[in-house]
Amino acid sequence: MSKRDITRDIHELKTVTPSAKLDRRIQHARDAAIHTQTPSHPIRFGWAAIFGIGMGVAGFGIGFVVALNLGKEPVPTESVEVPVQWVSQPVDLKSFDLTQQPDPPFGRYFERMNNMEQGVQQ
Amino acid sequence: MSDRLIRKLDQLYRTHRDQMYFYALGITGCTERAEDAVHDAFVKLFKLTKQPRQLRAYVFQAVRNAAIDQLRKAGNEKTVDVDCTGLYVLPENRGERAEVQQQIIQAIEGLDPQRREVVVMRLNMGLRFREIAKVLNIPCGTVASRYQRGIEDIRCKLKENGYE
Repeated sequence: MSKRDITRDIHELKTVTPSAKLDRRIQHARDAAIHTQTPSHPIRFGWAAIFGIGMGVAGFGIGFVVALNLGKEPVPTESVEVPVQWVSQPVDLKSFDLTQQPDPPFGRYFERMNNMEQGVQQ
Repeated sequence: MSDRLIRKLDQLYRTHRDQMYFYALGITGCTERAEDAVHDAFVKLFKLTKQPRQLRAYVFQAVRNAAIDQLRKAGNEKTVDVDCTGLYVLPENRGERAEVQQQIIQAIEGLDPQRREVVVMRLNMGLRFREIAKVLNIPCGTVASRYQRGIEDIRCKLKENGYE
């Protein structure tokens, strides 16, 4: 006999079968497992809860800090070097000479302000 | 455990019920203990939270471990009410083919236990070498060599009995 014949013969041998009682027992075990199901990924739910709480605390903290700082004057920063020509000087609008004002658009701005003031006075 | 895994295990039980029982019976040698082993294995399997790799091999491994546990419970006394011949249903017709099959069953019984286990798992239970290696926790090459030697032993035995 060849190996092929032997393997075929063994493969064709019928084996004994269990009783129907085993099916019922497995069925009970399966039903019990279905009834006592736990969340599929408890660890993930735990991490999600921790993440959610963390985000909530962080959001509350940021909101609190923003609310505290809303009414405060902005603190000037001293280390910034500003070009001299940019530094704003107090302007006396009445004695303002338009001919010495910078080029537009600033010139137009001061001109308009001047006109408005004259209109109010008239 | 997820519904999906329960359904998979249930499906696996339905398709491989006979093979699992056959395997447990081969280890315990007792019909009741074999059924207990399959049941115990599935009770544990239904408690799994994550699907293992090579589920079919894992299930057979669980059945094997449960069968060995059953054997230990009985105090290592293998009360054999079923020997190797009793694992198979003999053909009803009494022709030449039935005679050959009878000889083959006897040859299987006479095999070295390790080789017999591999041959039976491959041919009667339909497991792949890779799966058998996982179940028995041995290298795949060892499984292949045991299988080849087992078949060769059966062939020699049949030759001795005049089946060329």
